[in-house]
Amino acid sequence: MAQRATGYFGPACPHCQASLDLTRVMTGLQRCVVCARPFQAARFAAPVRAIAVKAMVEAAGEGGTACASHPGNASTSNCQRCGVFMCSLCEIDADEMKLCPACFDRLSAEGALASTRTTFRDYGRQASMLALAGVPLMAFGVVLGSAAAFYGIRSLRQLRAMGESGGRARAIVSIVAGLAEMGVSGFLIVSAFRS
Amino acid sequence: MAWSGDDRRQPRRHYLGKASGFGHTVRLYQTREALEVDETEGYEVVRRRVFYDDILLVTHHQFTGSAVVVALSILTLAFGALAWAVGTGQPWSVGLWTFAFTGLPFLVLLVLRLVLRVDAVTVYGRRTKAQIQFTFRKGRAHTVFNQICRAVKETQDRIAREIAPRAPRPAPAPAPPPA
Repeated sequence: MAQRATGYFGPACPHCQASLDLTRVMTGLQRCVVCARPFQAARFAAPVRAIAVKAMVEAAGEGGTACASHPGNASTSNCQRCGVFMCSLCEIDADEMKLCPACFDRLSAEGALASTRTTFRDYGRQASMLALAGVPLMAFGVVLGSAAAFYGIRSLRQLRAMGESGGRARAIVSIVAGLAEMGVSGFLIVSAFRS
Repeated sequence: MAWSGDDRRQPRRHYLGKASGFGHTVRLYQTREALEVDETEGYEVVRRRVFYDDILLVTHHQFTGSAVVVALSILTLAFGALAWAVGTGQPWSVGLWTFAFTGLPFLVLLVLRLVLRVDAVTVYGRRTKAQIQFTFRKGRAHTVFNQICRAVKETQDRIAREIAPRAPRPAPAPAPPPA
């Protein structure tokens, strides 16, 4: 039922979406048993990681320290934010840091971990649409152009914060177009008043 | 160029391709540890990740897309019928050529769709999947398929080596008896 909610049922035929029995799928050209249409497949055996937890009684002789959350487990590292001792069950790798669950929750809630952000606004698209709308509506260029430039700058900041390489050209073009629209619109308004 | 992912000067992710639907676009990027799927709907972007160590199957197939074919056929037929209706008895009327030229792009797109078809690369993970489509760049579809397979294999092999039980250290050879 949980799978139905997410709409994903695991590997399926790319043509008819019939579920595939992975034990029967081989790497190479395959044919779906339901629709008989061909597809190229590459099958992988995703490894299952078993977390090894060292009990405190085993580590006592080595001067081991207990995990802050699981006193029965020996700690394997410290949280890189608060320094608390963690066992391998508590350790969370995020943005190349080892964090305890509490710090991970806090940083995620603050939006400070780039890898945990799942929803954001596309300022670049917003800027380009405003710049585009400003071309036929040049009389409103002061408003649309300034908005395009504003969102273009926000887009550049967003891209830098997220470590993105693509999308800069679109933001810069939107800023330049927005400024040009502001200039032309301003000129038109001044000309209209003078005449 | 294959992305090594080790050089810090390289960008965080590389664009692989996209798949467009009605009102939304899905863009796929390759990062060091996962494929990032950016689903854009309006100005909102929802990001998902399909981690290499979670991937079970990668497929490459070709499809025509019946919805697009039906829509293009209807548009072509509609404009063709209008052109025929206007042009009956007046072969050189402006209306005939207007409707004929308006319907021509739909006919061209329909023929292209039927001839070329669409290449799709689909990645199935344990919890989620991702798909990218290539209408014209068939070679790129093969390159991306191989690139994803290579990255997945490298990652899963590395993890399998890490979690494999360490082989017992060979016992030291007994010291030779004193002379």
